[in-house]
Amino acid sequence: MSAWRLPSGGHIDRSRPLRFTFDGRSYTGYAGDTLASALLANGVHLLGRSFKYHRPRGIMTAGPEEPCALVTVRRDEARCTPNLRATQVELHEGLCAYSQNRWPSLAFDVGQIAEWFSALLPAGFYYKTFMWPRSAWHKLYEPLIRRTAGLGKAPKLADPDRYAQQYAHCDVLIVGAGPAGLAAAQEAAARGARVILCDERAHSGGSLLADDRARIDGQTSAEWVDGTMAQLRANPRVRVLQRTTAFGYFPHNLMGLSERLTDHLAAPPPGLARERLWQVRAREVILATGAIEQPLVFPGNDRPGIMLGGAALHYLKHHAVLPGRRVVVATACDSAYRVARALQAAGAQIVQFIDLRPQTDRPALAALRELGIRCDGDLRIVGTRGSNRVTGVDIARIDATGAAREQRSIDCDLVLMSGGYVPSVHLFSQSRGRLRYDETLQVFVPGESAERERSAGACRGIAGLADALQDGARAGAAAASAALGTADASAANPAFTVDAAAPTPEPLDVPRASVAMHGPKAFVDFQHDVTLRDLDLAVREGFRSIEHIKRYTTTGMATDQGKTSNLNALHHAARELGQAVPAVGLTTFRMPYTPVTFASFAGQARGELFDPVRRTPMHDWAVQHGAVFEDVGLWKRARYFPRDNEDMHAAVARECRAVREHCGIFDASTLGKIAVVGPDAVEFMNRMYVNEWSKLAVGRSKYGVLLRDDGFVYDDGVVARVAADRFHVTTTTGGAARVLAMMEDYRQTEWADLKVWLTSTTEEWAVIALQGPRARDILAPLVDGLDISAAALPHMGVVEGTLQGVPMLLFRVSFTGELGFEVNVPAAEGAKVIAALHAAGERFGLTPYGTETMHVLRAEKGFIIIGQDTDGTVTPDDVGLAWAIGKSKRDFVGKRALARPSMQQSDRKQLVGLRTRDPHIVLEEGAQIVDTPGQRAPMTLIGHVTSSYASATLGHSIAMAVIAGGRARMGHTLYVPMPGGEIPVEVCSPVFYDPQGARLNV
Amino acid sequence: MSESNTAPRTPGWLSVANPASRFVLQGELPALAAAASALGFESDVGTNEARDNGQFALLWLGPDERLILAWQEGARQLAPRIANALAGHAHSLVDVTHRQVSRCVRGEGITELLNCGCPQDLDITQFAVDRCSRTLYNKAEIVLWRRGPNEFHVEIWRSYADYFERWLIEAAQDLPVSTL
Repeated sequence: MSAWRLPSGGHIDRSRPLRFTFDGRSYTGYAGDTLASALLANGVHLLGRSFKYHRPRGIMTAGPEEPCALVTVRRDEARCTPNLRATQVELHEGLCAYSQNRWPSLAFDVGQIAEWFSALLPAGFYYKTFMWPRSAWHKLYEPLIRRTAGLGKAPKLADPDRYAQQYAHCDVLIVGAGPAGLAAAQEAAARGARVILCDERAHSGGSLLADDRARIDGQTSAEWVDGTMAQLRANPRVRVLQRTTAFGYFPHNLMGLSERLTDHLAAPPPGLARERLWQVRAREVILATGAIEQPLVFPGNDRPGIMLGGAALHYLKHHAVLPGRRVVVATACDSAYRVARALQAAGAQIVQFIDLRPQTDRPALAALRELGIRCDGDLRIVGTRGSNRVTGVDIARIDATGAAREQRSIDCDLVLMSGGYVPSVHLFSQSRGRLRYDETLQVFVPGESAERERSAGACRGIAGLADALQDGARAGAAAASAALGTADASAANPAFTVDAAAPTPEPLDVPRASVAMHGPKAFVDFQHDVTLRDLDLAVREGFRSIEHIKRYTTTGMATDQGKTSNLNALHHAARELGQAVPAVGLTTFRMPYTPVTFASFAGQARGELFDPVRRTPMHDWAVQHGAVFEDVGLWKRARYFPRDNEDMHAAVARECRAVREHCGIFDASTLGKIAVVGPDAVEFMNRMYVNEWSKLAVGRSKYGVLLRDDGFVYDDGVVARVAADRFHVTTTTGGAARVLAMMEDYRQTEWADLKVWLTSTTEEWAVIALQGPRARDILAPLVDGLDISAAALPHMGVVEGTLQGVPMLLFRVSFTGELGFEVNVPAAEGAKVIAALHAAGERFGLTPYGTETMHVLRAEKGFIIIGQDTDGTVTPDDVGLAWAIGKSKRDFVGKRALARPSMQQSDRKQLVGLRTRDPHIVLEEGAQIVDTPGQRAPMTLIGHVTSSYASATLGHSIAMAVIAGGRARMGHTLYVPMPGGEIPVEVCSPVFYDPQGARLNV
Repeated sequence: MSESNTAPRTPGWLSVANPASRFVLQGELPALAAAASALGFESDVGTNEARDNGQFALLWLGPDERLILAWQEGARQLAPRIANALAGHAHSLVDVTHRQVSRCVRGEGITELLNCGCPQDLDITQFAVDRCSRTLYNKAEIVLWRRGPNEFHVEIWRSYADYFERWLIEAAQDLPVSTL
C-alpha cells in the first residue's frame, strides 16, 4: 500500500496490482488507475516541464482538459506516443511513461534558464525579436526555437499497429455518459430509438464517479450507473462505446468518434486494431458533455501540487488517492466546500480554507469552522513556494488600494483551487451552433442550434444532480420522438429522487475577472505559459479582439484548446478593455476536442489499400514478359519490357525499332470508353465535341477533341459510330471518369430533352494494339475469315467480328504512324487473346512494347498527349487541331469561348517541334525557352518544352514545345537556358516522321 | 512492387456469384417497363428495389437506369430479345457482362463489415431485403443488393474487385464474420 492510497474505497481493483515505470523508476498502482492517479498514489506530483519557461508542472485536473501533465507512453521503439494526458492514460501492467520537455532530467532541467530571462520573453517575443535579419529565420531562429520549445518527440519508425474505421447510423447519438447522458440514453432507448452512447472514460458515470454520497431513486450513484448501463447493454438497439472521444462535429449530424481499443491492455492481442474511427450519422444528437472546472489565477499558480478541487475529489473518490495531507483550499464558488469536507474526512488536514469572495460571514464558512478547519473569506493567495512541489502559500487580504494586508505564510503540500465550472460547449460550437453569453453564470452556453442537436445537463449550465438527470431524460425523450417521428415527448417528465447531490457545476457569483490576482507568474494558459502580464501587454499594445489577443499571446492555442484558460483570459481582457465579455468575443472551437492520431484518420487506407490498384486483364501477360510497370492514375501500366539487363533507354530504342520495322503489341485497355446511345446520340456528340459527327458513317471512326466551356482542350480520343444511334467513344486513360462526369453533367442539366444515355464501358473491353508494317499479316489469319484488307477496312474503319471465336470490335487506328489495329475483346478474354496474338506474331518479329515506347512513337508523329502537351490553357488551334472543328456547327461546348479575341491572337503559345543542334542532347521536359542568347535573369521566356525523347528511328533527339507565336518562327534558332549552359534549338514542324502519312495508308 | 499477388486466402463468407450476362438499360419509364415485362417481371422495380425471378434479376440504379443480371442466358441471346421488346422505345441497352464481377458476402456480422467502407445505413430496418443501391466501398464504386438479413450481392468493376476483397478481409480481423 503506497503512502497516499486510502485503505479502502474507490473504483480500483486492489486484487490487481500493476507495476509501471515513469522516467525509468518503478511504481505500483491498481487496475482502475490512470497514470495520473497512480503517480499521485506514489506521491509523485512533478510530471513535466512547461512549454516556454520549462517550469516544473504537475497534475492539475483529472480529465481531458489537463494542460500540464503531458507524457510520452512507450511500448517499443515504434509504439511511442507523445503528448498524452496522464489524466487519461489508463494504467496497465508494464506501462512505461516518460516526462517531456526536460534535459537532462525532469527534476533538474537546463531549459529552466529560460525562466530567468522571462522578462525578456514577453508576449509576441518571437514576432518582435526574430524578425531580423530575415535570412536567419530558417537557418537559425526557427530550428533553435523548435528545439527548446518542443512538446514530446514523434517516433521515427513506421507505426506497426492497425487502425480500423467504421460508419454507423443511429436515431440518437449521446455524447457523454454522465448523469444527463445516461438519463437521456435510458429515455431514448425506452422509446425504441437506435441509440449510440459514447464516453471518453473507461467507466461511465461522469461526475458521479467522484460521488459516493448521492442517492438516485434510492440507489447509490454507483448502483444507479451500473444498473442503467446493464439495461442499455442488454438492448440490441443500443451501442455503448467507452474509451471513445467525440472529437469532431461535422455537417448534417456527422460525428467523428475516436475509440481506443488496446492502449489500456498490457498485451494487446496481435492483429487487433489499436483504435477505431467512427463516423456516425445521427438523426438527433444529444450533447451531455458536462462542465470543466476553472483554475484560479494567482502568482505561482502552476506549481506541482496545485490542482483543481474537483480533480482532487475525483482522485479521492474514484481512485482512493489522497493527493496531499496538508491542504490549502482556495475557492471562488461553493463547490470547494464539499471537496474540503471530503478530504478532511479522508484524513487530510485542511490547513487553510480561503473563500476569495468579499463576504466573510458565509454560513458555509462557519460550518467548516465547526469541523476544525481554519477558514476565511475575502482572502487571496499572493504567492506560492516550492520548486518541484508546492511547499507553501502566501495569503493576504487585498485592500481597496490593492495593497496586501495581513500577509502570512502557510506550509502545505497540496493547494486546491476552484474557479467555478464552465459548460463544455466545444462540440456545440463545432456544430456552428450559436453560443449565448449568460450574464448570471458568466459563461457561454449553447444558444440556437444549427443542427438537429440538443444539449443536456451541465454543458448547458444546468447545475445540480436532480436537474441534470431530469434535463437529460427530457432531452432523450424529445430526441427519440423527433428522430422517430412519434408523438411529442413533452408529456414525459420523468422524476428522479435525488439526495445528497454531488458537487455539480456551480457558477461564480462574483465577477470572474475579479478572481484573478496580479503578480509575477500568474498563469492563465498553463500549457502555453501565458500569464496575466502577457494579456495586459497585448491590451496595452492595442489588441482589442480576443481573436487577436489570442494569436498574439498564444493563449488558448495549445493542444488543450484553452479548456482551462479561455474564459479566464477573455474575462480579464474584457475588464482591461472596459468592455462587456461578448463584445470582446469568443474564439471558435475547432475539431478535434482532444488530439486524435493521424493513423486513426488513415485507418486501413495504407499500403495496398491506400488506393485501389487497378490491373488490366492482360497484366499477368505483361508480368510474364518482364514488364516494368508505371502508375497511370490508379492503373498499373507496362512501361517497357527490358530484355537481358537492358536499361529503359535501350529497351525503348529496341521496341521503337521493332514497331517501325516489324510490329509491336501493346495493352491499351486502360483507355476510357463510353457508350453514347440513343436516338439523339449524334446530336449529343455534335454538342459535346468540336467535331462534326452527322456525316460519320456507321463503321467509321474519327479523332475527336473535347473542350471545356472555357474553350481549352480537355480530352481527346478516337470515336467510332458502331450504329446509327450508338457511338463508341474513347477517352484518355486519366480522363475516363471526368469526361463521363462532364458529359453526364451536360446531359442531365443542360440537354435533358435529348434522348441519349451514357454508359462507361472502359472495363468491358480488353484492348490490344497491333502496330507496325506486319500488323495485318499477323492479324488476318486469326479473325475467322473477316476481310481486313486496306480496301475492306481502311484507316479509321471499324468492324465487328470474331477472333478465334471471341467476339471482337476491331478498329483500324494508329497512334504510332504505322499500319495499326486495336482489337477490342470482352475483358475476360483479354489474357487469352493477347497470348494468341503474341504467339501468332512471333515469326513476324512481333514485340511487346510499353507506354514509354508509345510516347516516343506518337511524338515522332507529332501526336499530342493530353496533360503533357496541353495544360488546360491551350485551344485546339494552339496545338494544331483547328482542322478538327466542325466549321458549320451552330454550337459546341467551348465554341463561344474560342470566339473571344484573346483566343485568336497570333502570339498565343503554339505547338511546334524542336531540334537540338547537337542531335544527342535530349532536352528536359519543362525547360524554358528564350529567343536570344546570353540573356540574364529575369529572362524573357517565350515558351517551354512539353515532350522530349531520343528517337532511335530518326537517329536524333526530338522535342515538342509550346512557344509564343511558334508557327511563325519555323526555322528560327531559339535557346534553352540550362544550368550547364544554353542549348540552341531550331523550330520545326512537330511531325518528325513520315509527314505525308504514307506508312499509314497501306 | 505490388505485382505479387499476396491476397490472403478467400474466407468462407466471401464467394463469387457471377451471372451469365449483365446489361445496363437506360431509357424512359415505358421502355423500362417493357423490358421488365420481357424479362418476366410483373412490373418495373421501384426506387432502390431489386427483384429476382430465378432467371433474371432487375436492379434499380437510378430513375432511368436499371441493371439486368441474367443468371443463365448469355449476352448474345439476350440482347436481341430485349431490343425486340423495346422496339419503338427510345433506350440504351449496353452489354456490361465483363465490365464488372459479382461477389456474395454472407455471414453473421456482414453488415458491420460492409459498414467499414460503405457509409450507407445498412440496418435491416433502413435497408431491407431486396433493397439495392449504387454506393461506395471506400474508394470503389459498388452496387449493393441485400439478398437476406445477413447476405449481400455486390457488383464491382473488375479492376476494383481485388481492392474490395482485400479491404473486407483486412477489416474482418476486427469484425469477425461467422459463416452461415
